[in-house]
Amino acid sequence: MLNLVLWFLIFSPVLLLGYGFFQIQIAGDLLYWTAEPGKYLVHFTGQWAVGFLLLTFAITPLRKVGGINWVGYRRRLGVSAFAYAVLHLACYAVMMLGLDLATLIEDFSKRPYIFAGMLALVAMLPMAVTSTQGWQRRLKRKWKTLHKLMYAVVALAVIHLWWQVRQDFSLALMVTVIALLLTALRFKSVRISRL
Amino acid sequence: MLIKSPQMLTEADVTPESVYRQRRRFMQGAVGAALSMSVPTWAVQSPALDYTTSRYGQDDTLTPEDVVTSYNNFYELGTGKNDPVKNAAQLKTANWKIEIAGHAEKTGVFHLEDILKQNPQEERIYRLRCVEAWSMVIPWVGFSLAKFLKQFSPTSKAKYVKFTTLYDPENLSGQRNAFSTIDWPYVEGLRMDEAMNELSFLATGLYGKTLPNQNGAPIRLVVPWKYGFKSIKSIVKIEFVETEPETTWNKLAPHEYGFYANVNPNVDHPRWSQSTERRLPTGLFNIRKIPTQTFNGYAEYVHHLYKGMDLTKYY
Repeated sequence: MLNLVLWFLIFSPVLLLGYGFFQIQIAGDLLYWTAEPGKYLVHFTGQWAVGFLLLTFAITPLRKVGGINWVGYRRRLGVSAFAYAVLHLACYAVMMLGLDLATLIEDFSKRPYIFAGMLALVAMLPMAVTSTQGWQRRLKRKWKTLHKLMYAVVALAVIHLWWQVRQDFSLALMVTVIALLLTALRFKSVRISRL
Repeated sequence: MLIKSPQMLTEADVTPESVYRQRRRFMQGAVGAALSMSVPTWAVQSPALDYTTSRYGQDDTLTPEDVVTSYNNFYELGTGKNDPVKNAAQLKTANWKIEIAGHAEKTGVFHLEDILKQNPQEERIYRLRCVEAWSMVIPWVGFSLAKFLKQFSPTSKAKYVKFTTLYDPENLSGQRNAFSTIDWPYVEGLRMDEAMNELSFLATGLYGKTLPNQNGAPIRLVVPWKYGFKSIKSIVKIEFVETEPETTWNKLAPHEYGFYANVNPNVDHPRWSQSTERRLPTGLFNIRKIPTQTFNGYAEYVHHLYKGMDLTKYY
């Protein structure tokens, strides 16, 4: 049952995207994703990526503090976060910049918030690649070390959000509080388990 | 004399004005009659306005009305682009008054109704370039800011004009947002010579109708050579001041939003390039990117205002 719920959660953004696409292309509601659908989709995919990232990050504290072992579901959550992050970048490059590579490169070099986001995506790549059981076996203990990159990814995502705050910081604050809480629970539980 | 390209011609251009006006009066009568037959008041949110056309038109294609009225930055009504249209009812525009204060011979509180009687309305088609790199082309209805301000005889001490938006946190949910860093109410300002420029405009309508709430009803500023945030909405106070007013975005992030905020493709926003813009509405795969013009294409009207100024420093 939980298995099914999780798959549904993971694909719900895809369903929403499909529904929106239907509304715009077939039902003719051209403003369904506002007058600037590209920007809407960049935010949509980015927010889902952060959501799945936090869910992935929550598995360990959930086990240590809550005693609920969902480690088996972590891989698909992490890969989902990566997939939506890739989609986020693709939407930005195609729908905001019109695949203008010169502007894209200029953005990476000149705009720290985009650089932070890109760095987070790059850091997710080796984790996504080595997420299979085969790689887990092959890397043995190194696998755990490699996947400590999660801390960097979460931190970069938080920075990526704060750097874009224009005046309403509620989303950035919410993500930061959750990320800090999840981090604190990890370290707290380590101490508890050692006692 | 109308200077418009053929595809820009509106019904108003091809119909003799006398006929047009008759029909308009007839339609107003019809609306009035319909209203008296107990149509709920919300059904006629934007009554037609009485106005003349003007020479201020562009070759650009107009942005569709539903785009203009559904994609708004009006943080008093929410931060999402379609929040303002959803929350439009929070803005109460009945019995609107404007306070005129500061260095002028004539000051006081004036009813908008009276102001509209004394200032004949005209239509002007202007490009609107948002600092966020999107743009629209909007047929505004309103009157010249310069002509309006002169009625109050500003004194020699009046060096700047300060504008203030309605402060009504009880109704405007955005002004209650605990996570907002904006110091309400919203304030904007112009240098006196900018305010007196022929392009500066007070809009009370768009697309021939009363301004919808989400677009800054009942009266807003339009300064088309500056980024959109300078064009303050729902004005309740206009003040003639001696020093540069502290404007909302400039105060919040001075390195991102200057006091002048003239459209300038050569000065980037720290987080994005200003050299191009997306002309709304954009499609899913057609972002309609066009080059941004200096002073949003209005250089011939305004460049003399900034002679000798380093526009990369005074951005």
